[in-house]
Amino acid sequence: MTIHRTQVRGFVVVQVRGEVEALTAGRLGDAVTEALGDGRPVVLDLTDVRFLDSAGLETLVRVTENSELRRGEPLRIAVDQNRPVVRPIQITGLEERLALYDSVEDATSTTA
Amino acid sequence: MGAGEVDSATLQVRLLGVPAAASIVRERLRAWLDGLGWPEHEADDVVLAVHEAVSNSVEHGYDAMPAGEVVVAGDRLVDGDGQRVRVVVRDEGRWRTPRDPGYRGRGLAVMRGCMEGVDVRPGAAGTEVVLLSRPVPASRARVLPLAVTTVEVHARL
Repeated sequence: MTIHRTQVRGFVVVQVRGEVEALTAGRLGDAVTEALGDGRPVVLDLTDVRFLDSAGLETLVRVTENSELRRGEPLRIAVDQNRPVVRPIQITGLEERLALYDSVEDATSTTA
Repeated sequence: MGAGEVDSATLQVRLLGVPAAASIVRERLRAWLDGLGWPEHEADDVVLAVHEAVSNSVEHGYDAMPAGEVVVAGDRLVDGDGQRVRVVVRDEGRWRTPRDPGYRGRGLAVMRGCMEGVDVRPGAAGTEVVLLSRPVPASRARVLPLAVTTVEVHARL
């Protein structure tokens, strides 16, 4: 799993590639938490993630809660129709809990 | 679990229960399912469910003990015009009771969402998780690949 951090329209975009599982989910959580600490709105881009397990889901819930505490809104998560990410989210009913967007473009086009 | 005729296209992976085990199992399982001609999205679900079972064994099966072995055994059941895979994940540790409903509960929910049947059998010697896939049309099956795939991985990564 690799993580890159960029900026789009005033948002910090944390872009994740590869496999998010027990071994790597902690690093994803740390990267988002660090980005949230900068005070700007954050988008987590998961459109290039190839695998996501329950440890990854748990991390998504945790960083969503962090964002709600710090910014008063859930973390914006770009997933597109990326099945390896969307499937586990839907199976566990988390699409209602997480703020999901079709793309980074979509996630950054409304004001935080 | 339906009776179903068992054929010889089996998968056997035996490895040390360290965190990297899960990705090795995913890779081997994917190759096995590809060899069986399993539809891609159904294969995705089987891989995810088995991963969750292996992850649980690795993370919690051996708490405070040296890593033991995890064994993953798969076979294909052909029943009428449908076929399923059955994958058994066995470890020598104890299945952690889902004390944390968030995480463990979600792992179980993922397995149940991906498979037709999930049976967790804790025992004195270890835990066995039996996963039965949803059926896929038998016509999707290719000619049988190599009869048995056995992989032994003991590297500590």
